[in-house]
Amino acid sequence: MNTDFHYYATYCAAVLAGFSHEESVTVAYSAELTDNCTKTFLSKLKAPREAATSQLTMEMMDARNDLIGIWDITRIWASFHFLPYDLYAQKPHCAKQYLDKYRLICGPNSDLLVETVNLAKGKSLQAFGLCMHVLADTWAHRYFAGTTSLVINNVDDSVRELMNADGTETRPITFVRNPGRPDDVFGGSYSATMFVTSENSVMNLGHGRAGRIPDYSFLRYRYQPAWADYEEFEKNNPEDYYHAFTQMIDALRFLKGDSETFEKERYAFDAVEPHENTIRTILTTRQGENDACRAWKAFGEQLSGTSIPDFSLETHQQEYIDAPEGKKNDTFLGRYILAALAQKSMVTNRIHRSGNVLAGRSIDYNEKGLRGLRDYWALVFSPEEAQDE
Amino acid sequence: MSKLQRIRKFLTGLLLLAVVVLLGVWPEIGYDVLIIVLCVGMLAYGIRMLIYYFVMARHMVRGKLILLIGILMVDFGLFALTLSHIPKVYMLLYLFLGHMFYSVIDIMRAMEARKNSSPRWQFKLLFGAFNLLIALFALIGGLVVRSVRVPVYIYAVGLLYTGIERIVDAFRKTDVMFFET
Repeated sequence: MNTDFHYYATYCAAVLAGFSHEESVTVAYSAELTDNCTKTFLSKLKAPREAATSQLTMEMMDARNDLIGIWDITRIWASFHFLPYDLYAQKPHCAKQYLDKYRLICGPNSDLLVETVNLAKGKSLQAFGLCMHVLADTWAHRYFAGTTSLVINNVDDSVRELMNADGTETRPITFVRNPGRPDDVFGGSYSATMFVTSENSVMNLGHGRAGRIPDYSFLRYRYQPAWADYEEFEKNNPEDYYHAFTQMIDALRFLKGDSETFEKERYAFDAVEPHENTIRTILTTRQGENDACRAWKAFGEQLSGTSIPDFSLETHQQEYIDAPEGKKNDTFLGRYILAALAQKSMVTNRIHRSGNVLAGRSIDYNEKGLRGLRDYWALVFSPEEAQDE
Repeated sequence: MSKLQRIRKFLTGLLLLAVVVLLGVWPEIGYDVLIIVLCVGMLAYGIRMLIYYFVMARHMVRGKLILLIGILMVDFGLFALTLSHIPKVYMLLYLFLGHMFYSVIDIMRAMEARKNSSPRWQFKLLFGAFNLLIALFALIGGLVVRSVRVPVYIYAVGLLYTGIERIVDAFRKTDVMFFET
């Protein structure tokens, strides 16, 4: 998903869930920030680098391909962009090494999603926004894993785009193995990562091998996921995005306190009913990466009657930099950083608890006390207390 | 990281440093050792690919390709081991390309960090420049000086870095604390 959905559509979902304009902007900003909060960004702010929720291209290229590197990559991508569907999934006649990767395949309506939404409950608006990013991506990135894996994430050149409603008319999707080249959404040519036989190469991370085709809401395509034993899957992005949108509203209603529980497979179709045509039109219109932003923005402004500011990474930086030590957690970015650390810590814990070591080891504070990477100590103590410890 | 993983990291780091010392003391035999290590490495890579196929890639759509690559690499490795003499230029080219690759990555990473106003860009640029120097030294120095010591020393620098990195890693904090609220 791109800025169109993570920022503007999230804003629309927040407004439809009953949040004010200001609150909705905060939620949407935090959702979009999840694609931009990199270690490079955090170093600039002198903020905890473990709170990174994404990686820049060269950060990924420069990443170590040993255990420590794989843990770091998996923690970032599995926690925020490819939430695992079933950490205990089974596949017959498979070695544990294979199963560990297989169990990280992302999908919507997982137990981990319920835990993610519950984790955000009672927290800041920034935590709500981060949670919306994770939720939305479970729909867009389903069938891919947030770790480096050729055997799970590989996509060959047999992907076909469905051109009509019943899928009888198709055309091949061409992958240009040059990530720097812009996509040609009208010609059906998309840039993607190169084929590298190394299982743990960063080229095999997430949907890199399929380029950005999961990130375009209008695309419907048929392909064979590398892990699916030659079974052909149909990915219906417009339908998935529609579900993501209605599930975001439902989750936001829960986070706002309008419903008692968050449940899987529950969607706020009622809230979008008067706008269904508008939403479906935006989702199905073939347009470039950021072209859908205009349509979502117009829809959002129509809903709230207020102008939506464009997303800028600079907006809250100075507030964080200027805040004295000990007060940084009270700033906009400070609250976001705490939410990111909590989410990463929770997902790492669940993956480790399932017997899977791909995200590294998790240590429970209640059993072992203060241990491990210092950045996470902020989840227990204020910065001054952590300093004393 | 578990205790066993830390011990393994520390010991392999020490082993690499010991190899660096040996290469420094006996650079003349070091070149032959290097060639054997690289040929065995290729063979080991092929065997690893075969294991990878049987453990994981056989479950992958069109995973047979991995099996073919594994067989091919084993074949290359065995063939290279049977060669009695491998010209030095191949070794120098190998080192040149390796260091050039890391140099380009480091410099691009530094540029990206600088573009994003990260203070760490100078550190990455320094690394990139260092790798570039070694790469140029491998190509120009190696061909001009024409001594077997050049590739051996360059290889030793790489091993030194990896050895130190492994020892430092053995003491790094890597675990993630979880706090159930």
